Amino acid sequence: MNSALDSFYREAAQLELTNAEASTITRRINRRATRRRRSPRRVLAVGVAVAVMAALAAPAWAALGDALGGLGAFFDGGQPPGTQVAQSDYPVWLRGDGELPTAASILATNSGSSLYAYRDASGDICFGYGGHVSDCDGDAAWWRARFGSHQAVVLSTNPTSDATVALYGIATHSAAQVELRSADALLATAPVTNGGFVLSVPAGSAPTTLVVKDADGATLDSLDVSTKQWTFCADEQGCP
Amino acid sequence: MSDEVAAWVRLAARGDEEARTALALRASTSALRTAAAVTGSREVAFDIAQDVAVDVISGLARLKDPDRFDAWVYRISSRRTLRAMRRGWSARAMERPLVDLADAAHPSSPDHAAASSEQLAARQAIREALAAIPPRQRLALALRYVHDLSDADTAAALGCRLGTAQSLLSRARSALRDQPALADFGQVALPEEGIYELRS
Repeated sequence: MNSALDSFYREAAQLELTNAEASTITRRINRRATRRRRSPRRVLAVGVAVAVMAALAAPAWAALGDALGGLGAFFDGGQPPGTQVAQSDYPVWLRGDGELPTAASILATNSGSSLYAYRDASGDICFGYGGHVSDCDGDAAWWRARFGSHQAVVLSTNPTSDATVALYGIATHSAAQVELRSADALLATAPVTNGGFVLSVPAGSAPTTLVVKDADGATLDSLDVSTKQWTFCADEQGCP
Repeated sequence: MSDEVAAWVRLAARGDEEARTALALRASTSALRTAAAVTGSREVAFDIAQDVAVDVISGLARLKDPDRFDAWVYRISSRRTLRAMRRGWSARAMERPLVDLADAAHPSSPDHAAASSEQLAARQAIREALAAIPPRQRLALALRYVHDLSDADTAAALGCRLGTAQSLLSRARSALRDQPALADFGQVALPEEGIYELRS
């Protein structure tokens, strides 16, 4: 084989996940698994990777300061912002195996899809969406670090029952509105309420960018969302 | 495929979290390698690897033969990579300089900085050559040269017939050889031209 190509393919064949990448993947699959129960204890390597990531991002958290508003207070031990939900009104999936969250609220709702913020029985900071998915972590620094230099964090996309896909996210206090755009069109807009947002687009749409705007309509940030899953898989046998 | 991996599959099916994590990391590493060779971007490849990990874990119950785990992952990785290419990642990825993939996670490493102009020219040639061939051909090459798959296993991963996979590989090699800098590519293993029927 040509030596340059040989080198190229050999390098690809020897690629390994970094600790941070392994941590991200472990989190993502555990998040998917959090259905009516908490994720299992993370392995030591994941914990170390998260700690390193958090340490590296320390300057960014300081810059965020109060920029997270109610979310920041929630991260620091306060009540979740938004519309408080009484325990008796918790949705079934939030009731888990009997260990009820100590506090829960709805940050944002769009087309029937809601983004919940809550602190679970073990004290972890959680965001719940899609009727069964919970994204939890007890480390406030890790949540702050997820913002990095951005004005918003995309939690995930999740198909809904009516062949639409919802995108759930959280944003800084400065963010007032978010837009989903494809390469050549505006696909959806939604307000940022209580630091959260839910956008909804037809399944199969191809959003590429999440635009974050302030109350005056000025663009604060743009995030690449082209790598998110935007399909709706109705035929389980045919999935993925 | 080791017995250990098959054992992980069985354990994961019974809810063993460590086995599940091990399988997810194995699958995502495999996908990372495939996608990096196709897209030329470690960043894009990692996005694909994450999706593959989720697909694998959520679909594990559908894997009937634990001994076929790796082959199943190749198939899922191929689908995910092609889907990503259709979404336009490939164009964006190829617009970026093709870096040393192994150093992409550490771009400031001394080795990376010391890449010679000759190496950079070679990478540029690869970038141009790979960008010029269709995604499925690129993917066929990756399955062959990154994972050392046979023609039959490459066909299984691509979800096509054996002849189609052989044709894809043949055409890809031929297209790469059209690039002056890569003229000697695939000369040893080049199958005879024109004997394969493209069915897909």
